[in-house]
Amino acid sequence: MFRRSLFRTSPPRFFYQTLTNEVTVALTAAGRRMILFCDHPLTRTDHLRLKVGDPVTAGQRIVPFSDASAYVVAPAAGRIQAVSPFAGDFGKSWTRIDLAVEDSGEVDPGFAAAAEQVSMETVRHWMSGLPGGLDLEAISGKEAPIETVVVAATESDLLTVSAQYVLRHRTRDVRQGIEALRQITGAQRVILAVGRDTVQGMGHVHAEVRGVSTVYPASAPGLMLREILGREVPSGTSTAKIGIAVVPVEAVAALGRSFAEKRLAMQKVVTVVDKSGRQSLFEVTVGTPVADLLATLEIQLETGDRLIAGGPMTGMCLYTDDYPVRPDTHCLMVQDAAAVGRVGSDPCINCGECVRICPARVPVNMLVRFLEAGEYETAAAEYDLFSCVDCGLCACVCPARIPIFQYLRLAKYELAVSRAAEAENA
Amino acid sequence: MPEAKKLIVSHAPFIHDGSSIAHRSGQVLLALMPAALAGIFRWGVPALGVIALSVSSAMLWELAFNKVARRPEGIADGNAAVIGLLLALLLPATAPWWLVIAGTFLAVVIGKQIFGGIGANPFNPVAVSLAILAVSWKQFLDFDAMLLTYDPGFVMIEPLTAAKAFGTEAAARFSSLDLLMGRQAGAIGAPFGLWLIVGGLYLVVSGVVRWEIPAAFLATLIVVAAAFHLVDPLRYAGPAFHLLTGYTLIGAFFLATEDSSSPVNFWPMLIYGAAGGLMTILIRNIGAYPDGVIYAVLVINMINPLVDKIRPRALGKVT
Repeated sequence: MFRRSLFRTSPPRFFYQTLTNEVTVALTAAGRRMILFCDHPLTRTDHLRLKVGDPVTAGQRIVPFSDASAYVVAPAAGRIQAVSPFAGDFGKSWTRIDLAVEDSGEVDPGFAAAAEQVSMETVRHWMSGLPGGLDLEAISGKEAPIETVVVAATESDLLTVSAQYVLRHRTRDVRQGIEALRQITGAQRVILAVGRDTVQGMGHVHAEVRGVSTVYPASAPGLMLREILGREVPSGTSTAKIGIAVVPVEAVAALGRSFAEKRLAMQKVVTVVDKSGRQSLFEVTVGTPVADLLATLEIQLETGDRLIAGGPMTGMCLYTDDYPVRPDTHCLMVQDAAAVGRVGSDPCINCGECVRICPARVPVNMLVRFLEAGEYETAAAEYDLFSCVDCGLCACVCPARIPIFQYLRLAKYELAVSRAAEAENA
Repeated sequence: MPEAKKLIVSHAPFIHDGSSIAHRSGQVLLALMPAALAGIFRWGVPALGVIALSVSSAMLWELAFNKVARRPEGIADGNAAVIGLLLALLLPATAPWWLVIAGTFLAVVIGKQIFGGIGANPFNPVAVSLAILAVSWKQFLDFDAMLLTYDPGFVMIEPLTAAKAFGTEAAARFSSLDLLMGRQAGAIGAPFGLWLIVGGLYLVVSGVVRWEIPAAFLATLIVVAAAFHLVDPLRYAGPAFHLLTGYTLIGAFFLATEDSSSPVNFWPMLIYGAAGGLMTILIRNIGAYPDGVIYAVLVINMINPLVDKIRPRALGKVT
């Protein structure tokens, strides 16, 4: 994962994990409870249409609010156990729906009917929670017609091997997903981006195959497109702006399988990393509580440990294991209390480690001074805040242990909030 | 629900390469050790006294200022100790106690703390201190006068002063090997070229010092000194003489590379280092002072923010 040359004249390098035989694959954890997140805040209950005790069927499209179109699709039949608000990072809030699973065998026919038509409409109406994390805006072609679809079979973070597993074991689904994406987006060109170490033997996928560097963070969209297409995404905009949709391979596989089987795919591959760094792969239904996965592996959480959804570089800490596997939870990581590092209170000493390791050539040493002072507009205008690809390497090598990555995320969030407010009041 | 364990919640990333400011300071102290030990061996107990007083008083000034200013205590990061040791290695072994304490005050408080502490100083604190000392009490930095009592068995004339007054003829009295091995009059640690090169290279390979700065500094110094020597071989000493005398090596490896006051981008580091080498020779050969390293370092510290604006285009940046 981490390599440093004997002569430290160059920065250390971090490598993506390759899926090897040492990884325990395809465990399952069938819980009696599911947790669903609906992308709408639960601020008032008078528009809430759900009641505790309501029955749902498998595959039922649930629209919890009478005044919002946000929906969730029930992965299993059962009864609604609880509906509560859930606050995430950076002011994000969701409605959390707990479901007690009851095997009735009954399947909602709604999707089967909709799946007759392979279209953006069907995707938009049913697939916002597709395993793998499908960004509907990215494939909608709203900003610019989609010319190229890049199927990213590269890992999202260090230590996770989920994408490689999907590509290896669900090749047929991926192929069908690519066909579906061609129809939906009208893209002329489909590129399969895989790690350079696994580029062999992908001829039958019906896409151009391109190898991507295995040095972290080569799979960040901005860097990946530069590497495989020689195109740069203008900073501060999305890849959709230049007519490219980057779709995670697992979402492509789920899309393909859903349309082929006329039944929404709900299985998600999750890499679980325990305290000793041992990796295990799970194939579980989206919504399965994290506690069930940990129980299968007999991982005990102790006071002071960290439970991380995502990966070691970009993940998010959970404060409880009563949290579901979500569509974009590629990795779960448990870190021992003793391994928990601390941030420092020292100021930047201008050593330049961050500048030399930054893959986006951002002047982090200058940027962090403005971020600490809350000068976000200057940071964006003069010190390339929006060129940042959110990899976290700068904070990883900082000898002063400044939480640089958190500053960067906070700045982008604050700017997004203030710009949205300005646009609204304009 | 079973009783939940309290988990730690923090932000990404969750791994760190283990580096710290204290570790970097420790590496610098370690790299200075050969020259410091050679200095103690050569100049005896007085040198040990100056080093001990300088390091301890620098740390105490840091602590005292932090207390008075009610700022977080930075003594544990080792930066004050580095300042103290570096300053000691630039002073004569017979420097009076009050000069050392005044020097560490100027370095730690005036050079660093009043700008906001570590990382905020625009100039190298040691260079600031030594420049003020040299202007205020120049007789105590006159190595010929300060080292009168020593007779270690080689020419005890400060080479740069001699060359300034008498030209190449005086410089020719010193063999390059003698200069490299520290057989010359000078400060406690600065004359020991070989040990400074060893320590400097150690810092380069351990990643504390960026190689670009000392490399550009020394290469330019050699080229410019050679050019002067070619134009007037009688007045101007050759490049080897300039490389191995005065504060050249300690300046290139330890003073010019101080993090806060030096650039971090590739081309700026080369320009910065080259400007240091050029200024050193210009001051030595044309200016009034025998040694120009301290002032050269201050000048390049001054241009640092400007040259460090030269940087590569960031990803996706539309100009």
